[in-house]
Amino acid sequence: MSSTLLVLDSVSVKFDNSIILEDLSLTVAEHEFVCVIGTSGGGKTTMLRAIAGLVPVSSGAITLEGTRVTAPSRRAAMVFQHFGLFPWKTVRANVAYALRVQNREVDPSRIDDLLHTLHLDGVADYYPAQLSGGMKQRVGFARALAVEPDLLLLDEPFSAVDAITRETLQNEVLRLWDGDKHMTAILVTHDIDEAILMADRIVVISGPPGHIALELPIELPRPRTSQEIRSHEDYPRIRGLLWNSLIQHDVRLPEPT
Amino acid sequence: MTAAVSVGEEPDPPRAARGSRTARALQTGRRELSPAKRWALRLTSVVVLLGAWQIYGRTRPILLSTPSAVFTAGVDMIRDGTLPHALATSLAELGIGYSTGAVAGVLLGLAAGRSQIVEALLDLPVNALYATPMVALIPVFVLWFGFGLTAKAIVVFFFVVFTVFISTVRGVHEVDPELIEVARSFCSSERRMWMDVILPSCLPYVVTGLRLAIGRALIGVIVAEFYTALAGLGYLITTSASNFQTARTWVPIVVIALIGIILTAVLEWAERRLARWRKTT
Repeated sequence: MSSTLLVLDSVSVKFDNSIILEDLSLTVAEHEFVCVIGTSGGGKTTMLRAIAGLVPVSSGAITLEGTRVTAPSRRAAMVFQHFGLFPWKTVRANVAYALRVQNREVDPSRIDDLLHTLHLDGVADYYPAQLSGGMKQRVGFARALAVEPDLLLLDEPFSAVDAITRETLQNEVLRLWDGDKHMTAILVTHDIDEAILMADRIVVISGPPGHIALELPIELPRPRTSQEIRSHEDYPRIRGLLWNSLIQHDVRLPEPT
Repeated sequence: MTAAVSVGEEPDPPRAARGSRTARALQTGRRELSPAKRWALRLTSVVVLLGAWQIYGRTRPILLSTPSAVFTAGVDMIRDGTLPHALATSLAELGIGYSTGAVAGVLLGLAAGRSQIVEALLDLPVNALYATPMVALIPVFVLWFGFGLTAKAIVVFFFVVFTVFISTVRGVHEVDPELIEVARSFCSSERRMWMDVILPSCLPYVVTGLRLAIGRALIGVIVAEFYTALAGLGYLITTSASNFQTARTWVPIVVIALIGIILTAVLEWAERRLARWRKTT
């Protein structure tokens, strides 16, 4: 963890007259795994879209390795909550799409390797409608990894798959990220445990207007599993901090005594 | 590691090869007919109708004619060349009008679907013309373009273009915005966005428009020929009917029905070829 990859410098995002993000600053180092959590409508997804260059910033600046982000960058790739697969393309064609659309060379053996890494070998010629949610999201990851991104943007990628598959995928994504020392990941989620499992640092966004309510480094040893995390002595403290920060703008229920 | 997690280590099996007919039957609680039975029932209804017509038609041959008389008349009209000539005339009008109308409808529809400026420009004229019964315009077209092929092709064009246009616009509007965002996030150019996302997504809507337009195009051709009454299948219908040649009146009507069935079947076949992925859902 050394050089800086991404800088958000007092970024605001406005739509019409509503302020979605206000004066948000964040620095992300190379090969850092940052998780962004927050309640629905708090602006965390907008923040990810702004980093992806899909949403223009109203003021402030986002820079990716010194270059100002004003449009989607080839150095970043995104994985979508609802998979975003093309239903008329096979699994293989969906993965190859990422390269083809950027006029990069499509090496069939590299696509095969990617499909193999994500356990998709058997379904390369299937259409998305023939796959379960978990398999669809594997395709989503394979497509994003195909462009060898420096920055992997993950928009609640596990929220639409079942609990068992989710845990498997979380572990696989951690392994993939760990295997590529140049890949940085930003994961948006509303699942506190998922954030603690994956993150080097957790950023709590609260809003609207969205701002950073808490930045919390997670220094639990890696590799992590959900069992180990939950039985770690620091876990209750970390979870409590995050929980309190998440609910501080909501109506507070009376504390049980 | 718990049992649950080790189960999860295996990639979930693809839900492939689900018999969609079985799945549907389970959901609706209605047993679906097998294809053989379905065809048997279809043919039964045709045989029963023709049989009833044959029996009852004999009691009033001038007014009703009979299927066998229609068949004989059809053979005669092929032999003496009236049917081939009329068919060629109508098919030429239909072919030119339908193809130009379809191309114009799709192109304008794509432009209007993607550009709000084009859509706003076309909005009022298209809706006004679509709501106007096109039949009302036939005398105007005849006045402008005469009694020949041009006038009738233009009538067919107008019967086709709005239907295709409206479904195409709808198709472009229904493109999943998430897929557009996927394409944008992977730095797609506008041209690639059309090829990868917009055209494939609106294809089913375009085909629906083209299919509806077949029926409208046939109406356009026949009505235009009624009015101009010089050649074509519509002309054959009016002249035979006014001479009380009932059997000869039915021949072009049957031919028109067959054209409609064949064109629709061709379009459905093309759609299945193009959208093979939909069959697997």
